[in-house]
Amino acid sequence: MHKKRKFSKKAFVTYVAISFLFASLFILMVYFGLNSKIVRYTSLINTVAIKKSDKDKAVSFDKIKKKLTSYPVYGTKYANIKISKIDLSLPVYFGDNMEILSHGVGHYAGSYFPGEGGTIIYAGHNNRGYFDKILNLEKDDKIIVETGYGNFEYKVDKTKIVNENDLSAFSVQSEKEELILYTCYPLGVGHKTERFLVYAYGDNYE
Amino acid sequence: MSKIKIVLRGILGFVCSVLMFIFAFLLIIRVTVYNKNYVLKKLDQVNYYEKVYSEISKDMKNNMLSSGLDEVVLDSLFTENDVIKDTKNLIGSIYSGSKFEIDTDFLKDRLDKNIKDYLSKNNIEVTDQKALDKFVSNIVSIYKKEIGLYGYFENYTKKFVKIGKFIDAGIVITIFLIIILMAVLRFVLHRKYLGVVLLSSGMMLLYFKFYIYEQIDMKNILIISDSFSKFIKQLLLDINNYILISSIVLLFMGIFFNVICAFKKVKRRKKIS
Amino acid sequence: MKKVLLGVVICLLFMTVSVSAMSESKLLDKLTAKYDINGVTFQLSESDRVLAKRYLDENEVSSSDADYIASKIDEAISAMKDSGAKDFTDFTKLPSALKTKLKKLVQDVASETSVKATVTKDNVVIYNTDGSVFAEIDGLVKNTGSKVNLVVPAAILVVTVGAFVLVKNVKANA
Repeated sequence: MHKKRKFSKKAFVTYVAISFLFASLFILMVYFGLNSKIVRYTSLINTVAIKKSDKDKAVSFDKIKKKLTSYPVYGTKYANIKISKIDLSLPVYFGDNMEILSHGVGHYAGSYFPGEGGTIIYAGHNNRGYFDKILNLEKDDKIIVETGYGNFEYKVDKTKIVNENDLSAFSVQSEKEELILYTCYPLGVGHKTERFLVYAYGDNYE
Repeated sequence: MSKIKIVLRGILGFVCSVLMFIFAFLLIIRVTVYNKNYVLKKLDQVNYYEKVYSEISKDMKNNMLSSGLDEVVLDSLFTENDVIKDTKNLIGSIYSGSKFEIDTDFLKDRLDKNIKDYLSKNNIEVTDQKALDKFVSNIVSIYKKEIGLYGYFENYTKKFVKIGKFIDAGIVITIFLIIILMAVLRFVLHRKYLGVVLLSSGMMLLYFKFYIYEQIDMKNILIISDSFSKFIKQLLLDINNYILISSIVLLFMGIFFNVICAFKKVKRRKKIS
Repeated sequence: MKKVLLGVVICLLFMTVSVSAMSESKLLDKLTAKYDINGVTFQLSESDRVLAKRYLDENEVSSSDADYIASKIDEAISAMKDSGAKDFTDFTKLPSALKTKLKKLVQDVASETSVKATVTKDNVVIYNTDGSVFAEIDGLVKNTGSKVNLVVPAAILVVTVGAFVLVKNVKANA
C-alpha cells in the first residue's frame, strides 16, 4: 500500500477554530477576571501621561466677589512690582520654581492673588537687582503691584529675619490683603539659611 | 475514554497556549528592559546623556543665583563624558545588583578652585565659610541626584533585580512546561497542537497589544525628568513594536504548522492487476 | 404633552448642572473642614485650601469624580481615626498599615478620576485638565537646603488627588 499525504481542509479549519477558541477563552478570562485591575493600572500610568498645553489665558477679576475668575498660566508673567524708594521694577511670574526665579519675582501658588483679600507671597533672589534692595525697606514704604486686572498699593508694616525652615513666618491667611516679599539672607556668598521678609498691607484697588 | 481525551486535549492545549503567550511576553521584556546593552543603546538613541548634561547645567545655574557668586564658578566643572561614564557605570551596577557610588570629589575640587579664583579676583571676603561649604555641597549633590535620578535608581534597584530573576525563571519554567505539555499532547493524546498553540498565542499577544497596551498613553508619559521621560517613551514604543512583530511571527508560524499538521496520511490500495 | 416633556427635560438639565455644582462645593467643604482625629483637630492649612479651591475653580470636576473623591476622603479620615495615631505631620512615621491604606486611596483617586499629576525630580507637578500646569508643589520656602518644610503629603495629595490624607496640626482638643 502506498501512503500519500493529502491536505485536509477540514483538519486545517478545525485547528484554526480551536486556536480561535483558545484565544477567545483567554480574552474572556482576562476581561472578566482581570479587567478591573488592568483598567486601574493603566489609569495609574496614564495619570503621568500629560498632553501638555501652553495656551495663554486672559486673567479676569470679579470686583464684587474680590476673586479671580480666570487665573494666569503657571510660569507666565502676570504683573509688575514697583517700589520707587529702592528703584525697583520687576516682572512677577505666577509660580516660584527655580527657573521662574531666574527671570524675576515668583508668586507662591499656595497664596492669594492681589485684590483677593488674603496673603500674597512673592519670592526673589537677593542679587542681580532682584530683591537684594528690599533689605532697605522701612515702615510705610509703598509697594505697587500692577496687574492686567488692576493696580494694588501696599504699605510696608514690618520686616523680619527668620530661619529658612520657619514656616510660621509665611502663614497664609484670608482675613486681610497682605503682601509678603522674601529673599535669602544675609547677602554675601554661599548658601543662606535665613530669609528676609517684608510684610506689607493694603486694600486699595484702582 | 475518548471524551476524557478530548477534554484533556482542550485543557492542555489551552494551558500550552497561555504558557506560550507568557513565554513570548517575558522574552520581550528580557531582551529589552532587562538587556543592559539594549538599554544603553536606547539611551544613546534618545540623546539621554546630552539632555542630562543640559539639565544638570541648568539646575546648577539656577541654584547658583542665590549664592552671590557668578556663573563663571560653574565653568568646566564637568563634561558630557563624565555624565556618560557615571550613567553607564550606574546602569551597569543596577544590572549586576551591585552598589555604585557616584564619585563627586573631582567636581567638588574643581568648584572649590573656581570659587577661590573668583573670590580672589574680585576681592570678595568670605564672612561665612560654612555657608560657602554648604553651597558647594548643594551644587555637587545636584550632579549626583540628576545622574541617580533623584534616588529612584537606588530605591528601585533591588526590586528591579528581583523581578529580573523572576523573569529568567519564568522563561525557563514556561519553556520546560511547553515542551512537556506538547510531548504529552503529541505522544499520549495523539494531537499535533503546535500550530494551534502558536496561532492562539499569537492572537493572545495581539489582544494584549490592542486592548491593554494601547490604553497606555505612551507618547505623553512625563515622569521625573524630560530626559528620562523620553527614554521611557521610546522603550514603551519599542516594546509595543516587539509585541506586534512577535504576534505576527506567532500567527504565521501557527498557520504554517497548522497547514503541515493538516496533511493527513492517505492509504491507497495497490491496484490488483 | 410637548410642553410637559420640554419642562421635564429642562428640569433634568437644571438638576444635572446643580448636582455637579453641589458636588464640587460639597467636595470643597470636605477638603477645607476641620476634623477631630483621635482628640486632635486637623484642618488643611490656608495655603493648601487656596490650592484646592483654585484647582476646583479652574477644572471642571464631574459630579461622579467629586462624589468619588469625597468618599475617599471619608475613608481616609476613618483610617486615620482607626490607626490611633495623633501626629500626622511626617508621612514616613505613620503606622505602616495606615501608610498602605492611604497610598491605596491615593491610587484609587488617581486611577478613577481625571486628575493629572507627575513626579519630577524632587517635586510634584499637577496639571489642569487642559494640559497646562496647575502648580509645582515643592515646599513653600524656596532654595532651602533641607526638605523639612516639604509638606509632601498634605499639599501634594490634597491637590493631586483631592484625597484628604494629611494635614497640619491646628490645635489639640482641650
